[in-house]
Amino acid sequence: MFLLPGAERYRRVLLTVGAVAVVAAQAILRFPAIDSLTYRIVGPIQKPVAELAGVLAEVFVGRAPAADGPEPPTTSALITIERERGMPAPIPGMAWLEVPVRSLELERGRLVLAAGADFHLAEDQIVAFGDAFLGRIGAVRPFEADVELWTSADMRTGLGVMLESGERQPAVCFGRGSGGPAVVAWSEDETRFEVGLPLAWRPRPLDPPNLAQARLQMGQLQQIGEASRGDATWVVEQFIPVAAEGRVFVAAGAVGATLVAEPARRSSSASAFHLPDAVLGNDWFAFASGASFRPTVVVDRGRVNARVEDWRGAWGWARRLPPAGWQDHAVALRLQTGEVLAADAWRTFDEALPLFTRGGEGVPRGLWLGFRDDAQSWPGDHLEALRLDLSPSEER
Amino acid sequence: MRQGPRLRILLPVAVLLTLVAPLARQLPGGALLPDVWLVLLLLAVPATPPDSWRRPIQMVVLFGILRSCVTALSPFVAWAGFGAGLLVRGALHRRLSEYRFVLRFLVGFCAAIPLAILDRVAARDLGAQLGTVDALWACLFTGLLVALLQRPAGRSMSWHGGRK
Repeated sequence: MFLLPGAERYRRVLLTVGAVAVVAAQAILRFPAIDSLTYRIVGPIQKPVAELAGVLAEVFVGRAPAADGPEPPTTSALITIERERGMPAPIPGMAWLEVPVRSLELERGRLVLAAGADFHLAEDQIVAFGDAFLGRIGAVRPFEADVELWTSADMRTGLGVMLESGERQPAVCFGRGSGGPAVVAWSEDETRFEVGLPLAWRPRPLDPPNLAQARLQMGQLQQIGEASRGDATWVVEQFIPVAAEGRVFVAAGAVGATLVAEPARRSSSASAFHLPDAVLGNDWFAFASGASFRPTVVVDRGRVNARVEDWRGAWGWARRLPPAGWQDHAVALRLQTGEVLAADAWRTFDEALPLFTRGGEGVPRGLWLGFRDDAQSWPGDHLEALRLDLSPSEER
Repeated sequence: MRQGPRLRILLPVAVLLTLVAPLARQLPGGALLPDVWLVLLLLAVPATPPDSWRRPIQMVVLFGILRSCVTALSPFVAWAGFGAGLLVRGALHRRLSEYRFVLRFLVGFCAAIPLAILDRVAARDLGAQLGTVDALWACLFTGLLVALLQRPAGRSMSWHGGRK
């Protein structure tokens, strides 16, 4: 038997190990540019094979029945409630602009809005939800703007402590971001403070005078540390309503043509191959769509059917999830009270509440997921692939 | 040196297996089945290092593309898993006798482990979970199939009239 010289063999082995390591790194790290290039090359071969496998699976196993039920209303109940609850009290001479949130960066104390200079937003405008003060507009870009929450690190906000006597005592708090609740760094007289006193937002001297009439709140006064040892600190209990993750309201003295900046959605009709994943199992299915964008969810007759996990140009793979399987990406709505609940709250509820998408990562907010205890559904014939309109930075 | 089956035979077989694999995965216990492309690769590529590595590389790429047709996992997972599987088998094959069934089984079992690990990691990235026990069974079945179907080199030569 012919054997290569030892050195040549080891060189080959080393080269092969290196090549396998590089490919394994791409398999784990998934650089999008390389994935995209690969799918551009192998996609045209893969799609017909996947379609054929789907036809075979349908012939031999049959098509699973799609979920039937009443079609959900075209306007999301979550969005309706958010609008009702979120609109602050009117201020004379000013208007509240409704701006949906594109993404959440709560760790950094920031919300990214789905409108910017195109909607005439400007730095330092006040942002609120209901009677809760949220922060001010920070950087404004052509199609999006940042909201610097009052809880973000180093954010200085004036507040008024509503004393039991009915007096309003001025104070200033500094946000600490993820480091903890904002600290009351200055006040005229701390001796009159008590735990649980309500805090009202206080405008800056150069803010429009009418903003003082907005009566925005900032939560309650709390104390951390031990007063007996002299290291007690007054802090502001953080309070950001869950519904404010969907849309916020911006105070404006001058407005453009419209008061609502609803972000566009991109959608395209889709068709399932009825092909279960050969490795990951039945929860996955392949679908094709002529979408020129990368979809994030597959919707069947107005109800979210699956989340798109892999997109290969003209087709992709989506994962069917039961409503409760969306976990932190879902919010629940208590129809009786109009309360919007985050995942840690709706999981513990006895009642199976209706769930909606929380939004973010390209998924539009307020899409109907179903009731908490519903099972996952099979794709039907009226599929639609959609995503929130891309921001200009994402498009690049 | 053995060359293994020709590509024009392997290709239709691989495509057929690709079309059938999602159906098999739907069967009860489908998660325990071995990775058909890996088994085919281990049977098609001779364990002794060939003079040219062009053919094994061709087969790794081809089978990876086919596997990726019917799974959401990236073809890179398959390419890395297949490549690592062949490397593991090559390393063990030089040390273990292929004439004993148990050792052939052990080599096949070990060759299936890299792909099982990569599948688990890639599935977790996609938010899915593959069971450890299922993966273990799949590796065991891979070893079993390889041990049963792979003929030791000497014996195969004797079947062909003892050509050397």
